Parts: sequence; C-alpha cells; structure tokens
Amino acid sequence: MNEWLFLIPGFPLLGALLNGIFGEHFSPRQIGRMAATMPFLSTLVVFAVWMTHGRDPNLHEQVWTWISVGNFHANIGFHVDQVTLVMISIASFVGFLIHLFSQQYLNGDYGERRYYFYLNLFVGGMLILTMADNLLLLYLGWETVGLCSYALVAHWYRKQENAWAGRKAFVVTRIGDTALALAIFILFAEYHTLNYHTLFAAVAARPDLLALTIAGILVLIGAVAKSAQFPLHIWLPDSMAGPSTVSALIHAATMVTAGVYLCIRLYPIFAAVPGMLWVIGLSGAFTALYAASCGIAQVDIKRVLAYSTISQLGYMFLGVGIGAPSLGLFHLLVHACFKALLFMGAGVVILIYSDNHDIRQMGGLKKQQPFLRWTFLAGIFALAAVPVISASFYSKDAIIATAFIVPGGKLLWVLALLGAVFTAIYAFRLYFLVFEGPEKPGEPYQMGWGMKIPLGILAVASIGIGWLQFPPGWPGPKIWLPWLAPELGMPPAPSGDVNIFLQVACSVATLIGIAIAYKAAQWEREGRGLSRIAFLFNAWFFDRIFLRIFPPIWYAFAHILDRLIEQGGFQLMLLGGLRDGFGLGSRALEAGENGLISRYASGMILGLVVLLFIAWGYLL
Amino acid sequence: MTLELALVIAALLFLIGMALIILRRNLIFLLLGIELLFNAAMVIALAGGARWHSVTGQVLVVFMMALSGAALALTLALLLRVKQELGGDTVDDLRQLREEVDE
Amino acid sequence: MTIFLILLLLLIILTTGAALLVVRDPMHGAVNLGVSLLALSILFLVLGAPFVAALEVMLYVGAILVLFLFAIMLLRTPLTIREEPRWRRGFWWPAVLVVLLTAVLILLFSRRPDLMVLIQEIGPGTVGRALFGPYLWLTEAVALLLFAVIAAVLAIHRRDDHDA
Repeated sequence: MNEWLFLIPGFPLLGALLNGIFGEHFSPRQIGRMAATMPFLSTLVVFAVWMTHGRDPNLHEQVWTWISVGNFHANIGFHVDQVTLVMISIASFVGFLIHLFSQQYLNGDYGERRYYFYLNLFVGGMLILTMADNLLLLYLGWETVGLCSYALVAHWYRKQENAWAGRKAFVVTRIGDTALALAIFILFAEYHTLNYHTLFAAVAARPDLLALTIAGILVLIGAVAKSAQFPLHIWLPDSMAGPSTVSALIHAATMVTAGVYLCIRLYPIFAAVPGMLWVIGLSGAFTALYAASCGIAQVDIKRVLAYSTISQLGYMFLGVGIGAPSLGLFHLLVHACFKALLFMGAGVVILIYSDNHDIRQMGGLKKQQPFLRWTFLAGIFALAAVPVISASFYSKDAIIATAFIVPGGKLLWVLALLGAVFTAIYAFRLYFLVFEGPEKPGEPYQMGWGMKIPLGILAVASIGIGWLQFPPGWPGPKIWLPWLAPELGMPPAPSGDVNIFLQVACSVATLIGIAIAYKAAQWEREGRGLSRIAFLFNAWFFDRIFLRIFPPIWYAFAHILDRLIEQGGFQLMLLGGLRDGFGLGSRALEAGENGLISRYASGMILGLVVLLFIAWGYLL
Repeated sequence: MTLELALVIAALLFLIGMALIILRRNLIFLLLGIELLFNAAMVIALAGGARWHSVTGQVLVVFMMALSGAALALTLALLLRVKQELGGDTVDDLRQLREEVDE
Repeated sequence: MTIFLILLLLLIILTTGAALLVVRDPMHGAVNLGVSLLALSILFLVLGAPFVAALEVMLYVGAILVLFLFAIMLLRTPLTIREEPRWRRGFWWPAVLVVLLTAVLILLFSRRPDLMVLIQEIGPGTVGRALFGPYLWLTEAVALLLFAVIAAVLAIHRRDDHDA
C-alpha cells in the first residue's frame, strides 16, 4: 500500500495536466467527466487504505528527493496517519461529490474547462498539503491551494468585483503565507530539519522557547489567514463571488481547514510553549462569536454561510486550543459534510431565483423543491447543532463542553456558548426565510442525479456522522476518540453532574436560538429585521477599519519610494550628466580618431600596459 | 650575451611592433608590426632554450614561424580583398565594426 | 670585441626596426624589415640556434618578405604616396600609450642582471629529432593548419573578371 500513496494526489494532478494540455480538443462535458473521475479514483485509493490499514494507519512513501543540499533534505514524501487519513478522505470524497455536482451546476457557463482545471489542481494541492511529511512540501500544497482559490473565486472574471474579490482573498492569505514561510525558516534554522518526525523529536529534546514562541505565533498567523479567523477573515465573505461549488469545496470542506490541519499537525510545537494553546483557543472562541453575530444580520444567502464558516472554523481552533485536537478534527469532518451541502444547496437556490442572492426575496421554496428542502434542512440541523439528530451536536457541543473544564476555559466556554446561540439563530433564520413562509416563486429547476446524489449523501452524513463518538455518559459507539488517541491523545472529558449541566446548556442554547430565529425571520419579512443593525451587517465595520488604516500606509510608503526613485532618477540624470561629460572628454581626446581597429588595438595595449605594471608590482 | 640582454632586445622589438600597430596608418605597416611581434617572441623562446639547454626553444620557434606565416598569408589575402571591396588600404577604411552611434 | 660586435648587431636590429615607424613607402618598410630580420637571424645564431637562424633567413626573409612584396605590388598603391600622412589621425594619444609601454618595460628590466650563461649550441639534428619525436603531433597539426590556410586564401580571393 505504501507504494501507491502517490496516486492519491497524483490522480487530480494528472487530471489538471491532461486538461491543460489536451483540453481544447474536448467538449466541456467530457472535460467535466474526466475531471470528476480523478478525485473518484483518489477516493478509491483512500478507501483501499482504509480497508488495509484503517485501524492503525502509519504509511510512508518517499516519492522523490526534492532538495538535497548539504545537511538539508526535503523530499516529496508522503505520510499517512490517522489525521491525514481523515483529511484525505474528506478532500477526495467531498471533492469528488462537488465535481459531480458541478457537472450540472456549471453546465453551459463560460470558462468550464478552466474551472475544472483549477478544481482538479486544487484537490491535488490539498492532498499534497495533508499528506506531506515535511513542512516544505506542506508549504507547496499550501501555496497551490491558495493560487487555485484565487483563480476559482475570480472565476467569473468578466465582472470586475469578482476579480477584485479573488485578489483580496489572495493578498490576505498571502500575509499568512509569508508568516508561515518565516516560521518554517525559523524552525529550520533552529532544528535543521523540516521533516515532522525528526522535527518533533528535536523539539522535545531541545525546546528553544524563544524560537518556538516566535515560530508558533507565525504559524498561527498563517493558519488564521488561511482559515479566515479574526482578524484576517475579511477575504472570506467577499470570496463568495465565486461559484457556489467553489465555495463548497474551498471555503467549507478543504482549503480553510488547512489552517486547522496545520495547527493539529504542529501541535507539539504549540504545546511546548506555555500559554500558546490558550491563545489559539481564545482566537477560536472569539472568532466563533464574532462571525456568528455577523451572520444573523446578513441578507445574502452565501454571506450567511460565509460567516458561518468563519464561525465554525473558530470552534475547530477552540478545540485545538483547549487540548482536544481530536475533537477539533471531528468537527472539521462534520463541518465539511454539512457546509459543503449547504453551499451546494444555496447554489441551486440562487439558480432558482435567477442569480438573486437576497434571502428577503425568497420564500416558500419547500413546496417547489422538496428534495432540496430536506437536504438543506439536514445541513441546517447540523449547523445549529440540533440535539441528537445532527452530527455537530456530537462534535461542536463536545468542544464547548470540554472548554468548560480546562484551565482558563470558562471564558472560552462563555464565548462559545453565546456563539452557539447565534449560530442557531442565523441557521434557522436562513432556513425559515428561504424555505418557509409565503411563497415567492422562482424558476423551476430540475436537479439531475448528479446533483441529488451528492446532496443526499452529505445530508445523511450531516445527520449521522456524529454517531461515531457519543458523549461520555451516553450509550452508543465511541469510536472516534480512541481511534485518534495513539496520535493525539484523549481530550479531557467532563464527568458526572458537570457533564450533564454542560450538555443541557448547549442544547438549550440551540433551542433558544431556533426560537429566536423564527421570530427573526418574521421580522425580516416585515422589513424590521436584524439586517438593519448596521454594526452586525457590516461585520463590526471591520472591513472599513482595515481599508482606512492599511492602504494609506502602503500608499504613503510607495510614495516615499517614488520620491527616492525620483531622487534616484535625478541621480541617474546626474550620472547621465557624468556620462555626457565623459563623452565630451573622450571626444576631445579622440580628436579625429576614426578607425575602430586602432581603437581595439589601443585597448589591448592599454591592457597589456596595466598587466605589466602589475607584474612589475609583483616583482618588486 | 646575457639572458637579460636577450630579453631586453625582445622587449624593444615587441615595443616597436606594438607602436607600429597602433600608430601607423597604412595596413601594410600594421602587418610588418605583427611580424616584429612574432620575432620578439621567438627571441624570448630561444633565450629560454639557451638558458635551460632545452631543444624546446627552437621547436617553439619553428612552430611560431609556421604560424606567423600562415596568419600573414591569410591576412594579406584579406588585405587584398579589403582593397578591392572598400577601396582603400589604410586603417581609416576599416570602420565596419562600429555600432551605429550618433557622432 | 665580441661584445662590441653584438652591440652593433643589436643596434642594427633596433634602428632598422625603428625606421619602420618613420618611412612612408611600404616598400621601404618591407626592405627595412628584411634587414632587421637578417640581423635577427645572426642574433639567433649567437643564442646557439643555427637551425632556426637558417630558417629565419629562408622563411622570413625569403618567403614572408617576398609575400609582402607581392602584396604591396598587387595593392597597386599609387605613386603619389609622398603626400599621404604616415601616421594615423589622432596620433598623439596612442603615442602616449607607446611611451607608457616603454616606461613599463624599462621598469620591468631594471633589476639586477642575471648571471652570464654559457650558451651551448643546439644543432639541427637535435631539433629534427625533437620535431619528429615528442612534438610529432604538433608538427602534423601545423602542417594541417598550413593546408587550411591555403584553402582559406583560395576561398577569399576574388578575381575582378568573374565571381570566385
């Protein structure tokens, strides 16, 4: 099995390559089919890995020596352990479902071939990122997904705003990328290796607190940017300009989870610095609350989901921060399923309402589209963490509960719980506005099997995937945590009365939220909805603040440089003046000199004279 | 006949040859100067051969003679062509190598 | 006595060589060179290389100088050569260069003189054995080179009546 690991990222990359080289000879339909087959093949390989090594995966494959200079070796090497196995399962399978969904969704649109190229490349990059066994290869995957995200967000580039949104996404994540690169440099300078295995061993043996703290902060910045956490979250809502399937893949299931993955992967480094984990937890909890509070006031269907993504990612970071990375990973898995589902569903809704994103102009869709309605509802259940019958009840609520019992966690618990209330609010507000209430008819839309299958599968997963790990004190399978324990350890688990209190608290929060959501939807229809709260609608005016502070600094800097270059230009003129002076002088010298041959000969002799002078100097 | 003296002769011959190349106008004199350069080198080779009692000095000279003859033959042929094509046989006529400069 | 003769020899070499710098007529220049090279061949003899001395006369004075003469003839330089300037235009700066060169050479040679070396004559036989012994490859290569030059000269020449 070890030797076939390269196929997992290999298939999508092959798809991109074939598309790029031969694509123009085929129709977009055929390209789409070929492109969708690739992640399917990857899924098959991943499935084979599950079958053969699922219980205790520890697979390695060194594909190629990439860089080998002196003591530095960075290879194209893959390593599959439990965490990676989860990530690649998501990337390949959900990726495949989204490819499948795209066949009908994007049919007839412009740029289909380009779309599939970047989509394949993206999945390949994500798989490389998660399967890499060293930080350099991870960075390669990291950059690849960043690039594809930019290309895909700006897919409909003919509209200026879309291109701008793509650039914004790229530039903001670039900040994180730079930070991550610096962190990699620091870690290498300190420990002389980028391979996880040797790196962690070196860190354990010889922890250099200063280097680790700085590197840890930089890594965190990288993760924060990639996973759209506060304060580098500003790119995500705007990147909804891309197709909904792109949002489903990139901004729900895969790329944004790369930040979480990075934190889980580099957990030993964070753990070695006292207090760092708590900072991660705080960042996560705060972001969760912040984004959820913005979500309740949004009127664009995709923006609700965007803020929802930011918020849910915050819960994952919270999980890592409180010392429960396996719970964070659990929620990552659950979130991938329901968020991709919601985005794809939202895409269909948008199509039905002729590219209108405003949920205030939607309603009563449950009559027109029953299948869509039930699958979407499943996703909403999961989003709001409805007790028992949704997957995130088992993941997100577990995180919130665990937060209570860790040192310093009470604050995080409060933030997270409030966030949960808001989450339920925006989730069900969205559902009520779009699917319930007075009917606002849209275009009739028939979803083919290519669309129904992904939605159906993800809907089932949104409900049931949580049953992998029942909370302590409940009967039912507890597979997830023990399976991950050899690698990530068991998270602290509340027990006894505290346990019951916490679970009840979370469920109550959700139910309160649903109730408020019902009212909120009504208010929205009546025109006095939450969307009128400008503070929330504009995401606490954060974007505006950013735009007011940073670009002017940059422009001022550029202006200074320009001045310098003017000075430089002036100097150049000065130098040019010197040049002219020389020209004049030489013309005087060469009064009448004409032939070039003589000039060359003179030059040679001049050189000879100089050489002889030097020789004479040596002889002295 | 000291070694020094031989080297001085060679140096002076070399000097004269160089002077001819860069000072004279007529191309024939250029070529005469080149011949003087060769001969200067031959003197040095022989001086070395005499100093170290080696036959290599004379061998070098033989080769240099052959080479200088070859070079000269070719150059003279080219000189004749230059006269035919460019109409003159002075240094001033050999201007083709220059770039286009606004002088 | 010997020293005196040798110095005379050197004087001849250098003055005829220097004369090249001042004569106008290329033919005069060629003749001056001939004299210079003849004297040089005697110098070669003094340096213990009779074979090369003979070669100098045969090749240089006998062949190369004749080549020069033919070339000068073929150039058909008009007889009004008197009026043409002999130095190139812009003469002065290169002249400075030459002075510099002289200076540097003088500097180079202003050291303690080397010991007088006993010069032994190395005869033609030794040279021949060397040329066709260790230096055989080079000899053959030079022969090839000469052949190549012949071919090149033939390729370059162009007759006035028709294309080459």
